Amino acid sequence: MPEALYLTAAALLSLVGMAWLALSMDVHWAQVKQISLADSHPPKAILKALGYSALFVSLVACLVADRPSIAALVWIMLMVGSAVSVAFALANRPRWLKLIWPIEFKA
Amino acid sequence: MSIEVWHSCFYLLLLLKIIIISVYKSKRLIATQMASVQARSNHKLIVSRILAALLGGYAFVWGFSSLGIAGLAALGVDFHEAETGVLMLAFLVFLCVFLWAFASTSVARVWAVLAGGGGLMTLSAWLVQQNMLS
Amino acid sequence: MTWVHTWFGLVLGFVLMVCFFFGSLSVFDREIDRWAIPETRFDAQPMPSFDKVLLPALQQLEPDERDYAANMPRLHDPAKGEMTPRTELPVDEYWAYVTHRDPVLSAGVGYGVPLAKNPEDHNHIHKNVTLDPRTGAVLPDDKLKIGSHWFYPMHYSLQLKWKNLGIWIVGLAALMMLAALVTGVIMHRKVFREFFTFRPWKRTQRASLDLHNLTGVVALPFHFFFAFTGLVIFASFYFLPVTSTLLDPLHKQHEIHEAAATGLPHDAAGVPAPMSSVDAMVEEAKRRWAARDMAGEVGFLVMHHVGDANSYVSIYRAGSDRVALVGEGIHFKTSTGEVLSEDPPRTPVSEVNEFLTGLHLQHFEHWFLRWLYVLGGLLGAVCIATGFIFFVEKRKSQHARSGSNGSRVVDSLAVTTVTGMVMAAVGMLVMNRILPADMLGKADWEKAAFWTIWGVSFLHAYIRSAPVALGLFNPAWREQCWGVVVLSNSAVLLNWATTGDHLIKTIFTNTYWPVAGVDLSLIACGVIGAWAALKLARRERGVSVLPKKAEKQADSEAGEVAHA
Repeated sequence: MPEALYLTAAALLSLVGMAWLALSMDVHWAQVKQISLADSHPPKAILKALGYSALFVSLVACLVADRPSIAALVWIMLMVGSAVSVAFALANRPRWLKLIWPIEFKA
Repeated sequence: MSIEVWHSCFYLLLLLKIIIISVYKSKRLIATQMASVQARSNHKLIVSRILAALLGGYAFVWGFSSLGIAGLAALGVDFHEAETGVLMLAFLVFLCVFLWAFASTSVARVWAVLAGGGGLMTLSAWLVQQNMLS
Repeated sequence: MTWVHTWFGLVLGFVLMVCFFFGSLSVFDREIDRWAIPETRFDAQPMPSFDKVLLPALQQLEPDERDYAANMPRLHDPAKGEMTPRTELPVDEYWAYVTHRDPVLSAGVGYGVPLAKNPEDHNHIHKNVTLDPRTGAVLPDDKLKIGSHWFYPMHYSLQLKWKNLGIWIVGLAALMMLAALVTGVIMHRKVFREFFTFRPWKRTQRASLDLHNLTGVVALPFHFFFAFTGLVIFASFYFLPVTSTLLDPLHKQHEIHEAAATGLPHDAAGVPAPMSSVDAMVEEAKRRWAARDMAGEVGFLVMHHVGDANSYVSIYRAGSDRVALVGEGIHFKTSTGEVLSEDPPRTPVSEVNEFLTGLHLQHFEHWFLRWLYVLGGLLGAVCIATGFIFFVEKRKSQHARSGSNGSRVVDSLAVTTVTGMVMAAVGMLVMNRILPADMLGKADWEKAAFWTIWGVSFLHAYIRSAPVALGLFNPAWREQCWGVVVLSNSAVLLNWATTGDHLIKTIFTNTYWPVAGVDLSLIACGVIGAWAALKLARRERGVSVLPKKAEKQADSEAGEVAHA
């Protein structure tokens, strides 16, 4: 049972990580916040840091769940699924991604 | 490891190098000739290039694999290991020469290097094998 | 480079669609077998007792008639004497194979050829069977294993067996896939900047290119590795048989050295000897694996030189918990049961090769990863299909003006290899349920159904694609989507009607995931088909299917400026 738990965690982390990375791009920040591209100023550094960290922790979760050879494959394929999900969310329901960055810092 | 094999390999590689250099030197000549018959033989050139990429590429990879396996075996590497390792590299080599065949400006050069090189490498491999068996 | 990507991608894309789609289905090929052959709907078992179950079953077998007729004349040397009759061929080899994925067991006998032309070679006439591991009963082989013996070979050989032409075509397609990936990245340099870009609200040409780029880039490692490992798997046998042709003498020399090194007898001694308990050998093998901290089950077992003093049994561990396939072979002397040798740990080169091969063939037991593989395969199929759609959209207006039929041909072929192919696969399952279970020649009817449906799909697609030649919307896509819906739902209902296994039963009351999984996938297929058909119908009528106006404006502004 714990294997399933770790894999679920890995999947969620991968998804949220990809979403943060997407948000760090001007175009997608504008899509989610529903502002024009000119006004789009996402906090890039922190979003990218969070995004890559989440992907890394996802890898750790995969390694805890399975042998390294399988874990590597699961991690890569999870990222594939996450990236596609984020892209589809941005295309059809961009407001869903507001969930992962609800508060805006006035930097 | 016998000195004859090293000698024959050396001379064969030298021959290969001479062929490549002479093809490069005639590149300019070929280019001007090509421009004048461009319109008529454009279609033939495309077909030639595709054949060179596929058939020439295959010949080159066959030569690479044969020489790679035989060469490594001659150097003492376990035969099965040599086979496994070289065949994995072979498709990456094929990918590279295939793309090069389309990136290169001269179709004649592609044929020379791929078919010619392939033939030479295959011959070298056979020689290495002959030497190892005797 | 664009030229290479477009034209090689187009031509070989049709082959690649088959590879990716049937490859995705092959992830669950044994599960599809269970669906198609209801008598085998039980759970997977570990390797049964050789002494009590396998040996009696194998001893009852006879050499296959077709194999004998085809190969005996080729292997036997008439100068040395009369050809031994089929039923008198001596037994030379026993083998058995189990996998966690399959309830049934594959086993077989290799019969020797006395007075052979080349006694040094592996002269065998075979008999391969499928056994029920619980009883040792032989399962009739005339029931087509639609998953593992149709969909799976389709993906690597296109069922084109003449001179292995199909395998060569697939190999070429795989190499072109690699080239298409590299040239695609060269053409689409903004790989990371446009990583998540997908704008379905834009016109079809832009939207399809976005989706093509998305599915191609996001799953790039998957696509590259599958094409590459596919080539590597068949390398030494089909594509680059260097060591069995040019370097064959060196190869044979090595084989003799290797046999001497491992101490495993290459030839029979000609002296009869008894057979000790193989079950005891299996126990010892398991004990040794556990001692090496890799406890496991037996995956593959083979007895060489049966009945001879030189006879030895090789027992291999099933690789269900990792990527590499069966391995860690331990070899026992048959007459005494003592260990002759253990396979040494793999060298780095072998390890890499086993990893790559195992990555593709996925014999590991990891449901989650297998479903992720299906996702990857379907993304590859989407990548190729959107490539076709983009090709047509980009050119159909100009073809309409110049009177060319090109776009119509490509679009109808695209319909055939997307919706047509799905209909053929599902239709075959429908035919499987319609025909009675014990019907003679049922396999031929199922195959006929497959090819016929695919052929009819092409005809329908071509006829209905006439508007494409005028630069207009193609109705064939929508119509075939409805075909998919009808067939998918029929398959599920027919499964219920003919076997009594409906979803409530296979998920909740009498859980059996292989069948439930196939049924659910068929339903999902139908749902997606219906959704696609409805959406296409709306688009054809010109009704807007875009999100709310305000959202749309912001999105399109952002999109436009980014690509200005």
